[in-house]
Amino acid sequence: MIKRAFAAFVMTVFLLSIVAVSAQTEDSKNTDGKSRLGAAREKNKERLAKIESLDKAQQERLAKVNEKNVEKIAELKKERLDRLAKLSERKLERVSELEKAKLEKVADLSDAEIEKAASLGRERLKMLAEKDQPKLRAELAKLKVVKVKNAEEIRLRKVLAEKKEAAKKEFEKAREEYKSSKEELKASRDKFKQLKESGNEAEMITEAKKTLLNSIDRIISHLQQTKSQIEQNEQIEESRASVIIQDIDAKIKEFEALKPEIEAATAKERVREIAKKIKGRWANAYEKARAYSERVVAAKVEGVVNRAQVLEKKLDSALSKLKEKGVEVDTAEEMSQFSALVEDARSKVEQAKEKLEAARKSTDKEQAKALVDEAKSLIEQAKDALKNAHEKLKEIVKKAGEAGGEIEIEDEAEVEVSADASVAATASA
Amino acid sequence: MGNKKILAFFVLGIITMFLVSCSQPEQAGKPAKPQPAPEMQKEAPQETSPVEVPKEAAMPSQINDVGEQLNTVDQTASEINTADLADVEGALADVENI
Repeated sequence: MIKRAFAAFVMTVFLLSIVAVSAQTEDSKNTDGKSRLGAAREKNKERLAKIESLDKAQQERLAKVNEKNVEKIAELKKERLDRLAKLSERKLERVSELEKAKLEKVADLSDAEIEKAASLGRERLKMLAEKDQPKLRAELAKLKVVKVKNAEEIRLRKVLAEKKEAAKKEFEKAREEYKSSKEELKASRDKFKQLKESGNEAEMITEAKKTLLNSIDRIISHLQQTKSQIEQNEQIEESRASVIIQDIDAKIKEFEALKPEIEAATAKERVREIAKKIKGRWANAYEKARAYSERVVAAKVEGVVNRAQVLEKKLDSALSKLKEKGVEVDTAEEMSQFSALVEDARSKVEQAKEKLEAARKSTDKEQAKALVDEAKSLIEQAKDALKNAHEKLKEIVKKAGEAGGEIEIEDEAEVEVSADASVAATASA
Repeated sequence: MGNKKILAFFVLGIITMFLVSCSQPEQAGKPAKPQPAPEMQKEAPQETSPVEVPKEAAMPSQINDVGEQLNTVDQTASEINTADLADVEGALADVENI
């Protein structure tokens, strides 16, 4: 009995020691991380203390910058340092990632301009800092800093919830009509071809008329779907959305007007004439319809770009929280690649939007076609860049997980992003 | 259970406890051990747990959202694809040849 009790005691000691080992490993990981972070900051402070012009508060803030960037900061002139030291920790970190010459260029801007520049994504900041001072200032003047909790707040217009809901219902209705008209068109077209072979003229004319009516229904329901998408999208400026909607309405009206003509037709020559008329109208409307559809897709892609831009800022915040907890994870490379991909997508969408606007205004069918083709290709490239950026995000989370940390992105946290001045005032400026 | 087995477990337990106490962080006041070189610091976790398989990190919902939004873009693009109206052009051409 005593022997068994002793054996049980020994087993317990052994098992407890295993638990103690595993707990200690996790603790020591974080403790090591924290002590390394503290040591790095002390070292930074020592470097910065040599600069007599900096007061204690400025030294404290600048000391939090990543070790590899603090040297660049320490080499800046006093006036430049003074201006940069006013930035928040995260903005300072982002700006300090710039090469020395670019960092100096940014530090020479006014306080407000530095704030704006520091609110940009890494890649866009890098690209702007490549420009000369007047161009850099001009580009920054086109931007405004907005505080947002999520990407939906970065919008080019505000669409009321009821209007959005109504547009969604309209879309669903048009979608159903589009699908059913496809079936009906196929059925009437097949029957028409059979009757044409068998030689029954009266019945053939009836099916030809049905085919024409179904064709019109398909065109109208397609246009209606695009219109509903534009109505509910907040990434299309109000003025532009109204112009497109007016044009789509006019086209729907033109095709609707052909229905009574079809119904009144009795001779096959008249049916032939109307078929030609519809074909001509559709050929004229085709490139515009394509441009409007692609405009919707571009707006949707822009929404994803905004989402990614907000995520970049929220990730910065999540990663610095991990750092404070003592979890060291170097994602500078991945973050830089992510930012470059998002910037690439943003720039491609902007180019696509310009081409689509030119296509909308163009009166030359061939030119409009070329413009829409180019825009479509740019949108595809933007989508690919975003898909790759999404993969980079996964890599960052995985890397943090491997380092023993969990990325926590706060939904409610506000971040500052630089957006085009045309962004609606729904986000707080 | 034989005496030898009990002794073996006891010794293992003692050794493990000893290892734990040796690997505890330095207490305040005690002289700090020299810090390993940065390269060694990077490799340190591998040494302590060479068979540890990293856990697959769960993706935050905001990151999954990006993927979902991209799928939505593809879906919308396919729903309003004007090229899908090729059947209309074919049908009109048929009736034109009535």
